Amino acid sequence: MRVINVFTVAILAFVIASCTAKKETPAIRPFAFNDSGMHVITTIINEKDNEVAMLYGNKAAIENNTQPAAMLKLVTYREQDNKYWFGSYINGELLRVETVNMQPTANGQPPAYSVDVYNQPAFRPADATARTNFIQTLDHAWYPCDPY
Amino acid sequence: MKISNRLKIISVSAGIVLAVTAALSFTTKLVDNPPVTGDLEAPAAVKEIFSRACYPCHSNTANLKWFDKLPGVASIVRNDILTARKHLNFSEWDKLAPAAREAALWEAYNMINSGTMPLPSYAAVHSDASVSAAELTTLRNYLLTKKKTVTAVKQDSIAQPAATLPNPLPTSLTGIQFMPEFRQWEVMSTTSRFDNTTMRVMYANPIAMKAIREKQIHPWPDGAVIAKVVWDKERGNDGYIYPGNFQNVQFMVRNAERYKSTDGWGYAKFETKTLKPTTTLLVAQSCATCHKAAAKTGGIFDLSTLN
Repeated sequence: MRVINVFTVAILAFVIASCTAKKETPAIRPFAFNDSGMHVITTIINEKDNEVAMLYGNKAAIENNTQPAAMLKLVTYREQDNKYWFGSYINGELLRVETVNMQPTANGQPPAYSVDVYNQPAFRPADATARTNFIQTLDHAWYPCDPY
Repeated sequence: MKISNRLKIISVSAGIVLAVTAALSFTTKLVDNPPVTGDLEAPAAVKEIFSRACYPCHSNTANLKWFDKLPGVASIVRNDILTARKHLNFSEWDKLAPAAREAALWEAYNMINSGTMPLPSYAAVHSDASVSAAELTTLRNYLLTKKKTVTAVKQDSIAQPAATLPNPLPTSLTGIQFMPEFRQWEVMSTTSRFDNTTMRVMYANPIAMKAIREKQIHPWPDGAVIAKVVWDKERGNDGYIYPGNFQNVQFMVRNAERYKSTDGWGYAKFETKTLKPTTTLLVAQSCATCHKAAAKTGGIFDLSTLN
């Protein structure tokens, strides 16, 4: 009888544990940035400010980021704990998108720098020229299939 | 007379059952305990937790309870322990390279924290195996003493040679061919590991991305593919961390039927710039075991959540 009880408890516990795991719906963070078909050129981690940024570029920017059709976007996220792996940080809340656009515009000659800020009311924009230079001189991460 | 016959039948049946049980008890092979060649070295409080929760299966010091020795149960227990030892054996700690020891500890923590280990069926009948929230904190604090910092220095803008894809494209022993088209897929996430010194970018193919957006990941649809690109971290003169040496690209391919033995996911890893396929069927099993810790997201670790 005791043996039966032991196994009954084990089976019940297993079934309950399995059901609990399956029913829990994780709160997946919505994707706040639309890449509009651009590709990631590199990734930068700012440990001091707990931020991670991904530099996206269109096809022209990947070839040569100073040519007229080139468009770069540096997308910065707050880093957060990876809920499913202690030992890893993952991109969290979107903080800002900095754009360097080499298309000549009515308001001025390229490069045109702009920044869209999200979830970061205290953010103060840095010098546009310095940021443009920083973004344009970032090295490409090595991918085994580029250009693809 | 009728009662007497019934008693006879019951007595004979009980006798047969007892005899068969006794015979099986003598013939059932219990798991043995090979010598301890080198034990885990860790602070006493940490070791006590691992000893209690993990050692019964993940060491050569199995201490079977009476019900673990019952006929039928003993062979299951034996199989479980032998499988567990193959994956991680604290009694043969000396056989692991230093980096592998640390990786095993981070993995052990994540398996416990996710409720994957100790196995719920085991914990149900071994009440002393459960790990409390306070004990998890003790383990976390211990692991944080092993947190890695980046020492590799980024060189000044050296143009790296362009990639040349192997022709034909390499195929893993798990039947997965390298998919250069992942560069066209959307980015799922990016991670920075501090249990080692790598950084990663994860891509999801259109089927996987649709599943994420629609929260249809229990289970993930067949055809979903996740790609992961891994680099060593390097620190620039400006203090930022950049992707340095390319390590590998990994794929997880969803096909519930084909990859049934690895929880519906096929695994493949292509290492170094030559994209050498290194995933054997045995390695894929090991991948699947670890990915059980991400059961809440259908086996995928790197999904950002609203914390």
